[in-house]
Amino acid sequence: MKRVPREIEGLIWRLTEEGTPAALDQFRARYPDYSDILDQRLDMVKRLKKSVPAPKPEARPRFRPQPRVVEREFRWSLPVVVLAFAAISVAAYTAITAKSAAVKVEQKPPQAAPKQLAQGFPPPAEPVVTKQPDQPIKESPTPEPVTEIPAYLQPQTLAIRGAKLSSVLQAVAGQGKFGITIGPGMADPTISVDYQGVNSIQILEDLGRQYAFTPFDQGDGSVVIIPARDPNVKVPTEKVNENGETKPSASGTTEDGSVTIQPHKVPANPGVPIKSGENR
Amino acid sequence: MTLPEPKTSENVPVVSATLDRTKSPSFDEDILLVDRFLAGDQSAFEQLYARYHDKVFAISRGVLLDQEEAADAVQEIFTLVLRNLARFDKRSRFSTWLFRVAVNRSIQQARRARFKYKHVELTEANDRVQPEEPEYADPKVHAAMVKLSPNDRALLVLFYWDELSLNEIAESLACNVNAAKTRLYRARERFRSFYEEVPDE
Repeated sequence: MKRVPREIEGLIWRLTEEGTPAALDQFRARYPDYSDILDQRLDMVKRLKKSVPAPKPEARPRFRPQPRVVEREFRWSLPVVVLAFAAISVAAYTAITAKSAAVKVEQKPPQAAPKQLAQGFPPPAEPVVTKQPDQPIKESPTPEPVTEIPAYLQPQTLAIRGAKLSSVLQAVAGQGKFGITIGPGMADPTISVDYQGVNSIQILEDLGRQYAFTPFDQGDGSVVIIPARDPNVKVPTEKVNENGETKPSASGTTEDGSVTIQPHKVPANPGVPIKSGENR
Repeated sequence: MTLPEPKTSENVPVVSATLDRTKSPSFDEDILLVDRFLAGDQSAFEQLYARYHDKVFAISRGVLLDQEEAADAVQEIFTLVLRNLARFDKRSRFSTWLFRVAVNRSIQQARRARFKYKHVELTEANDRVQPEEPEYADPKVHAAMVKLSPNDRALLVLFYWDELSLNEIAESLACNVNAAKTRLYRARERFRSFYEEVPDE
């Protein structure tokens, strides 16, 4: 069967439907290659038209209204499709819900170091793995274990001018959030301090060296200040500067001459030093 | 008809039937008969039945490809028309409305029959394929029609047997004229393809 161009095909159909004999002859003369196709098409349409059933008038049945004619058939396909869709939806929802619940994994927090436990560090945050239904698993970044530094180990800034030593010690304790007990016989000169970026223990130790006392950690959040007296050492002389503050003089005596301070001499057995002293 | 010049080739001169091929002179008479029936005159419906029985039978027969089923379908179609004639709004021709009912009902019946015959016993089927009289005068046309879908058969029947215009076919199929033209072209091409596959006797 030869392939007929589209426009020739359309023309053949037109001639088949309503072509006059003259038009048919004209086509055959113009397209002799397709004249056989035109003839076949004419024959086909002619046979198709002649196939129309023509019942004889006397054979025409009398009209009998049908008692049971269903005007619109009940379509089982519609409820079946609806039910199937509902079932699939429920199943998908259940599967997604169960899957997301299974993906949530509670990871056991790692064992905290004994030192951290002793210091009461909070356990690191638990990483929670969540999975979205259509997304790959994303694990929340594991937070770095936060080391909560006690207040008395945190760097502080303390600047006091012209205050009594006991007041300065109380201020240091207040900033470090620990209790302080000053032992009897403690000298109480007027001093000026200016510390930046050092923790409370370091401040106390430094003050202890200057004003001859030793801070003792009691282990219950309090510090006892024990004055150190050495009768062989001259008491440093307090000189009042232009701000009215006194500073230990080189001679080691104060103006009242009652106290001898040896800044860097401490008792032979001062007890267990405060842990923070290791930071120095 | 004069042959167009070759240079002015239209790309889609597909279906060239005139839009108003069928000028039904019975248009007003149909409406009068409908009005008479709605007024209580039962004989008016008998006249409508007599007037359109053959065309409706041709549609059913062409779609169903079975004489007896077509006869039953015609009774059902006119029963439906009888029940629902009050709903006919007279915006279209009565014949168009009737043909729409006939096409839809016949296609529906054909689909049901196709499903039914899937489960027919072999002995029953042998009885069926040997009727006393051949249902189609042309077996080659019949063989090609059998291979077509009920929708395609309905289009060909409306165009070639009932000789409806494209407008009427469009109204009967509840689509626009261009859609009817395209569907008719495709149905005709499929018929030609099947027809050419059938060997000549």
